[in-house]
Amino acid sequence: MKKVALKILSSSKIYAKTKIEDLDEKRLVPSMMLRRRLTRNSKVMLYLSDKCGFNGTKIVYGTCYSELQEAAKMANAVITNGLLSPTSFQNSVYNTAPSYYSLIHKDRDEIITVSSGMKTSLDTLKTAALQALVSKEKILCVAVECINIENIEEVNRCTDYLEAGVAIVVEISDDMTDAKEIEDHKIDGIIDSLQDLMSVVGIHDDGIDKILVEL
Amino acid sequence: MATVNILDYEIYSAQGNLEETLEAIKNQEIVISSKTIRAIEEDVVIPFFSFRDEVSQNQKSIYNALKNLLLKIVPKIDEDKRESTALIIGTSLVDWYLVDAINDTAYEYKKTPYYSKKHSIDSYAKKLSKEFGLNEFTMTINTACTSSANALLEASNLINCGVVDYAIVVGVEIFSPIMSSGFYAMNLISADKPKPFDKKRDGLVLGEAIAGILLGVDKSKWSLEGGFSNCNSQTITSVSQSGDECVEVMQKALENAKTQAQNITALKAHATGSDSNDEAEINAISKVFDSSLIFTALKPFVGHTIGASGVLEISLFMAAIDDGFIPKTLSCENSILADYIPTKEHIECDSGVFMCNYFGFGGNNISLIIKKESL
Repeated sequence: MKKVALKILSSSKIYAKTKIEDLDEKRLVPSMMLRRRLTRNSKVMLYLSDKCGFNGTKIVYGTCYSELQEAAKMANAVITNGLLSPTSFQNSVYNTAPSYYSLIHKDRDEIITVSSGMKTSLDTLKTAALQALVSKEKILCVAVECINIENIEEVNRCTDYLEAGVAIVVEISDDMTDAKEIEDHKIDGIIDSLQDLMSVVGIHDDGIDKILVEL
Repeated sequence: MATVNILDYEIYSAQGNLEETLEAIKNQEIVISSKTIRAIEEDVVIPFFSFRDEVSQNQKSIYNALKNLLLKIVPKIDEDKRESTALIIGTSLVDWYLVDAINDTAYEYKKTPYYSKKHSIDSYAKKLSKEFGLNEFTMTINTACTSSANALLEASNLINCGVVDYAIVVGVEIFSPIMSSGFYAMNLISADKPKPFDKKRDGLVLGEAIAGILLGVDKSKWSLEGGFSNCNSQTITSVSQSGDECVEVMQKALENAKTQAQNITALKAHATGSDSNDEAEINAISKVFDSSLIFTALKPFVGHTIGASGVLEISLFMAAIDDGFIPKTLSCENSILADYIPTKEHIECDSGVFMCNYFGFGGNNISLIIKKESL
């Protein structure tokens, strides 16, 4: 196993029991036509990247449940013999959120989407560390889960917060001095797939800006 | 990027295993079956490249199919080196347990209790890694059509950084009724067969595949010389008709591999057979290469296998070169760009430098450069 030191340049997190109310969408996406097409994951990702002051380069994005609202719409359409919306299909792929980010910010760099179940944010962080190591560039590492679909209460067993996201901007540090192991700063009720990155943001909030990541 | 060697490859496609698929390509004896999917208030039959032996859409079936693939690849890695072998999967499969749960509980009239048993796509990688004694580093990349191609680049990063000495990169895609219905809703499914770059092309034909490539530090005749991946969409589904986004990716891939367009022996195009994708790609090809370029498409033989296409098509392309030929492009009679005509016949070739393109949903684009030393 190889350990690398990552410098945390900025971080942000957001979550809500049912729906995150203010994602500053009008400022972040002035075009109404485009704004209306955005998925919830996309809006949360755009908000977090803005809060982190990220202005584009490489992104590693993680999501366990992907675009659940769009997947549910498609499943519903198939069951009810309804119209399967091309827009829902377009918006249903795992990398929809970073693709909208690319479209809106004209970011033309590498974007990787990782999905690793309840370890999604940990693997997203590892992938970001790898990208930082190879490219020597700043990396936005962001993970989002928005699962607020109709009747979700009947299937939800994993979170008290139906919308949540977490992001950090990192770069590789050649100096491992003072780099800290990631301690447990989990937030009760947050979906497990985001907890590892939540811990990183937690220790960043405590004033630690260099972490060790095991690849 | 530093070169990473390609040590082995295995595939399972609609035409069978590697040898059977290669024979099908050589003899142009291609089997396309069909699937029935839901459209608006009716069932429709679409052409589809199905496995001969069905891989059901459930965790156990998919896991066993992946395990069978690894049973062919892992024994070729020395036992003492397996600890230093990462496993990376590229796929666009969604979590069907979750979709099933939604179907069963949230939308069916007769609701059934749901026990929340989350099996993510990545659980395949973690479980396989444990079962075969591989390194615990696993990753599952899901960037639609570029998933397993991106996985190859990430694997080469892992090896180049010294995290591991070897990496198995797997592409997997099985039939998904919802995905097929989605492509159908977007009018992207062909009525009969893919006709890449042909004036009469009418869409893509989806397919199933499981394929794996072993990358590593050992000497090999094949190498991954470099590549470039980015996200740059004009719309959420496509690149511009000019192909400028694809041009950028191809040029940066050449730079990354420290080579130039004139050194490319042949190009394996993404070439889905869809109207806009083919036009963008051939326009891009014409901006990077002169018209003497040899280029081909493999989807007419195996279908568009979405997340698996990266590993599957590179493996098939290498297998063909190892057999001494560049495959012809089936079903292209009149190229959409008069001066740029895909291969009309199999062309003798047993070595060279090759570009492999993948251009996917959400503007995820990647070009990889592979090389085979001359014998």
